Amino acid sequence: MLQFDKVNKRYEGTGDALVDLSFHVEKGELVFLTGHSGAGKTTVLKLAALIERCTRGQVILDGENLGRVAARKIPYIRRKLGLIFQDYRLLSDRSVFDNVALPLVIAGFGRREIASRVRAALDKVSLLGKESFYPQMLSGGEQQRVGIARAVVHKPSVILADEPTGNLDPDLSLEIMSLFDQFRQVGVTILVASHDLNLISKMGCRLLYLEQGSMTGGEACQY
Amino acid sequence: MSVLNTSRKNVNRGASPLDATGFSKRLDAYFQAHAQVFLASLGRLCRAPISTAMTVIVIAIALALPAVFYVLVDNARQVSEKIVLTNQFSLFMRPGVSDDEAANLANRLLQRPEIASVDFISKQAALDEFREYSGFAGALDILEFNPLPAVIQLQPDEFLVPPEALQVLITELEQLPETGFVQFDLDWVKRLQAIVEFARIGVLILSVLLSIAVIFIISNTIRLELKSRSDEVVVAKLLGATNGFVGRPFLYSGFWYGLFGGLVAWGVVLSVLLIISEPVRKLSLLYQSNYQLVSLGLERSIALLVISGLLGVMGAWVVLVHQLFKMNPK
Repeated sequence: MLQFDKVNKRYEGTGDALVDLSFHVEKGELVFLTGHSGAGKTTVLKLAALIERCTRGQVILDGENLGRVAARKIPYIRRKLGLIFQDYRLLSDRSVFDNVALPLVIAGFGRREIASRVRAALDKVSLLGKESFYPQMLSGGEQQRVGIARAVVHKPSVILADEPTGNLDPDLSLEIMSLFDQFRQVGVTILVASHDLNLISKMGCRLLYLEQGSMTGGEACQY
Repeated sequence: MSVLNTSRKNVNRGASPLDATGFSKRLDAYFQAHAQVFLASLGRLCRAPISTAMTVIVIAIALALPAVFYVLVDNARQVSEKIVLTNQFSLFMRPGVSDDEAANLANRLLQRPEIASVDFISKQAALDEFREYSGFAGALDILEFNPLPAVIQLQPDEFLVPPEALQVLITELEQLPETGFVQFDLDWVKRLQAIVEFARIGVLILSVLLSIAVIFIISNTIRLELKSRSDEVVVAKLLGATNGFVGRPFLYSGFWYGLFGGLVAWGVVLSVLLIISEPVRKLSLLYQSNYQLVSLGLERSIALLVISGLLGVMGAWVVLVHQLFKMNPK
């Protein structure tokens, strides 16, 4: 589903972020990407979400070589993805409902369909009663669940999460991770960047270990 | 029903999740979304009434200025055309020609086919008129006799006497024994027309310059709005929004600014015309005419609003091309 093939990424001024990186995430897999800060975890996600392009090598998402995607096609590629951020990136002047509805509005869904899908997504993250709340009225864990609802509401085939539990306590983190595991079970491909090894070990999923832009190790999945 | 279960069904059918809705449904949703953004951008302006009003007033003044000048120049042009069309001229009697003799001449002239109409102004009538309009009533009272000659105003038939034949007729009339002099002075009309033409070009240049100013006023406003909403733009782009999608609310904002500016400008133009209409009427009476100011009218009012709306969209477009489209997630 997501394949990195000898990928190099060099930033002007700061040097190589990724060196000769190759890995493959199968459809329906939940994979953790770990390593120290600056190891290149975020860069991997940025390449997969077409926020950056690789300097050399190939990134292939759902059979499409992202290096060859024209700029004006990028939005349509991104609609296949669900993105989750450490800082949630919710719009503070919009209600929970409107935040979650945004991907559907962007994709051009009708009002009735948007309403039913948003409710289903909020139900999934147990926030159905808080549709009309604003993000700043919610706790960190709730805000991240809104972020997750927004990432899954348009039924993406791939979810990319960058330190999704970075700002949450261990209990809430585990709750978020179990949500990811549920998504995996219904066939969604998920790549989570996280440095929380303690949490990752509890999940027993496949692990990719990055160091200075290269793969230095990995563990197979244990389920 | 879970979102993700339905997701699996879609995947099993082999359909992309975005093909789930039919074409007409999507078209419907497209217009719904447009209408929603159209009104939302209006609502956004209304929620900041003071800053919106300030921008709108600046735009309105910039639009009203050329619009008022345009209307005035247009009126001047119509007046000058009317003067030329009525190729009327005046036959002033020689001193010593009595009213009776002059009236006699007027009757004789009316018999001629090339003269369409004749208007006889007796010495007394001329004096009364002069007394009324000149402001020299007191001075006239000192005089013991009426110094003014009788006047015959002639309107040649415009088919029998084309403009080029006019001079022949005038020369002939100048030979009459009763004639003091013939006043037919097209020169000042020509001068007026030249001035009007000059002013027309001036208004055109002014309109272009102020339109450019309006575009930049609006683009500056939109630029500030974009700055305050950059988070929203970046998030929307991360979620797969096209440039068109993120740009739409700003284009509509620009449209609203332009339209409101145009509406206020329209009000300003009408008020100015209302204020000057009475002085203009008085002035026109001095020239034996009852000229009514030609206002904007429906067509030009609509044109003003359409142009101002378009200027707004253009102002927003400038910002979109230069900033929004290049604003990408980092």
